[in-house]
Amino acid sequence: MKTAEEMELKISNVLRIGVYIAGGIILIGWLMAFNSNNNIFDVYKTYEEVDLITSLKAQVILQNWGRLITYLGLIVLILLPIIRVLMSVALFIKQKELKMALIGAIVFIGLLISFYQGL
Amino acid sequence: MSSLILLPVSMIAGLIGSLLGLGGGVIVVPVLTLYFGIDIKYAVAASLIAIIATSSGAAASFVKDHLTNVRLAIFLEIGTVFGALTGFLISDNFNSSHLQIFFGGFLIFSAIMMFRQKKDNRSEVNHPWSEALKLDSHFPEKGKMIYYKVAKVPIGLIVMYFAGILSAILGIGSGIFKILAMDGFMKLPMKVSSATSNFMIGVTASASAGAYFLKGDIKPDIVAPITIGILIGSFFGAKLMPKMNASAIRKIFIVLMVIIATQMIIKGLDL
Repeated sequence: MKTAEEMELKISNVLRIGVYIAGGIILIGWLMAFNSNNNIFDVYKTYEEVDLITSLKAQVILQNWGRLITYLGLIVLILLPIIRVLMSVALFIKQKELKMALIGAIVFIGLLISFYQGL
Repeated sequence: MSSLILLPVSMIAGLIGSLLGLGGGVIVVPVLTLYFGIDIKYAVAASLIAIIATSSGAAASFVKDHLTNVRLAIFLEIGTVFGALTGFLISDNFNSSHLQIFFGGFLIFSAIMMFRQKKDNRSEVNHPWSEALKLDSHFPEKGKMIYYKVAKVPIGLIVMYFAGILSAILGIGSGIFKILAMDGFMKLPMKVSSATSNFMIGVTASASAGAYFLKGDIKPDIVAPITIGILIGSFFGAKLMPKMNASAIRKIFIVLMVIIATQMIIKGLDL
């Protein structure tokens, strides 16, 4: 039986590999969509709310696969900390530390509620 | 400016950030708004993504050195995650000028905090919550084990809630407030406070980053070069750390922070 700390280290290592994978996907997307246009940031000078679905649809119409791949990398990156919380909950349940598992579950629910606010 | 320039700029941000133990946010947000003219709302969202990348990438080394208190981190994440949720909800009430002024004020506060003396004041007794959840722990230093207790857990949790709010509104890791909660109120050793804070930052940032992502505020054109640059920069920062004189860089950076803060406030006030 491994100690809790060894397991946590394992979880953290999984997380690090995940960051490299997400970084790799984002790099591929960025290179594919690369635009040497000097005015690329002009559209971002004033804030305009465009929801994610509309943005994604626009990329499909423009056939800008690079940007879509970047979005995929971003999803992987944002999900990594959530996966870490879930893995910690699983670890606490395995060790019969139910109070800590409950705390982890509350953090997980908080993350889900937060995401929901963005919709 | 072309998005290519963002790559070396973020590499430097990642490098300085990891040398000084700061999240990239303190650097990324002002650079994007002041020098690239990007609206601070996009800058905040982009910065949160960069923070997830650096914090999650480094978590393993924080756990490995036995300084991170994982149980305490998960408990305090309740505060930061619900704080981030609140911060995202109220962020709509601020326009870009407010945010710039607010960010400037935060930078000045951070600069003052960086002058703070680092001394450990330990608690002899555990708070009842700490006792119930076994939050006290130990770490190795110079060949012996140092044991510590955790005091004032509820106050720590409340400070974490506010750290979460600031993280979501300003696109920062809020490490300064997290450390303040842990070594100031909960009486944790400084080393444990900073390792545990770094460990928590990724989860805090992902709470609001996920919301901004679904809202559509995270733009690939801005975020891609920043994330890649910060990852490369912080990788080399970690390698360089033992060879550099961090206190000299720190002093230069404090001066820079005050200059940037002034520029942010001037821009926010539209002077």
